Amino acid sequence: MSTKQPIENHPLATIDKIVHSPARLVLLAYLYVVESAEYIFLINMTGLTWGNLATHIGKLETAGYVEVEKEIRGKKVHSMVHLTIQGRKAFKTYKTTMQSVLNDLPD
Amino acid sequence: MSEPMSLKAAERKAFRLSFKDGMLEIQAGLTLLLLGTAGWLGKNGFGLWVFLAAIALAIVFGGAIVIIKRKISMPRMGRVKYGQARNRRVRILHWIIFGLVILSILVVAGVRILAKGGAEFSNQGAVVWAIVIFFSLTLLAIFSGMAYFFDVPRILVYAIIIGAIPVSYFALQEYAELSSMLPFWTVGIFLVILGLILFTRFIRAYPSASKENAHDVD
Repeated sequence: MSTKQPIENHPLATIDKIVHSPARLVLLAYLYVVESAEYIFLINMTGLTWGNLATHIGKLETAGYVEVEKEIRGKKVHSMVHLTIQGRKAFKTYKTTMQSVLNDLPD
Repeated sequence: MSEPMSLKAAERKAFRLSFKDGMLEIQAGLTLLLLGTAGWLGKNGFGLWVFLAAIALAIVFGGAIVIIKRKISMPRMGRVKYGQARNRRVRILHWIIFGLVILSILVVAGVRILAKGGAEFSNQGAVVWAIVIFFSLTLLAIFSGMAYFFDVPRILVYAIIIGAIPVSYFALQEYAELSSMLPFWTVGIFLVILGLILFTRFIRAYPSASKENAHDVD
């Protein structure tokens, strides 16, 4: 009898690929620890360019993990990003899964 | 993004950004310079005028710092609403400062009431020194609290030098011919210069928002 386990059953196979991207993971980590933040703040924290940030925020928004609220202050539009409940849950799940997988690895 | 990062470190890094513009140093430095100059002028007989000028200048300095923060620092830093844990830490610090200010007022009021009531202290010099040391320790506690609750270790250095002001002020008044306002001016100038250096570095490191380098990936 084969002892091989199908890859679909491996905990890493269930990893959320939206969260798993390094840039998005860092973005989610910052959004996880603050309530909401402006684009420029996220650029300063992550080192991403405007284009990169917009692309990643767009993907996270499509997945329902973040929400972007546009506020008009004076003549400028300010975009405030915050994590949704679904996004917070996805990040927590990712963290738990990665921790359990990595903790099981031998030194 | 290559440096190791924990969620706590990320939160600290995010919060520390608001102290990178040097406005805290400039504000503290200008306040000390104002106090020192007002005290020196007051000693030389400019009573009411000095008081009014000090209030006017404090309003001008405070207003200028608010405008700089709003018009120059914030567009570069980006606005952020911090999480509950950070807000709780800031609230605790406010209560500690409030408690220490009330305690200081009670100590001063208590000593004045006792002195007016005819209480004679066996060693008046020791009582005055005790009050001066109390004020030094209060300032040390306030700024150390800021360093701890804001997670900004450099404020601990300010805690030591600002905490030393009451003791050095009184020591200069008692034992030296130098102006007793010297500690206010020295620390004030040091903080303003440091603040200006931090502000210049901040302006260089965080340019105004621009979309020039935008490009799409992934």
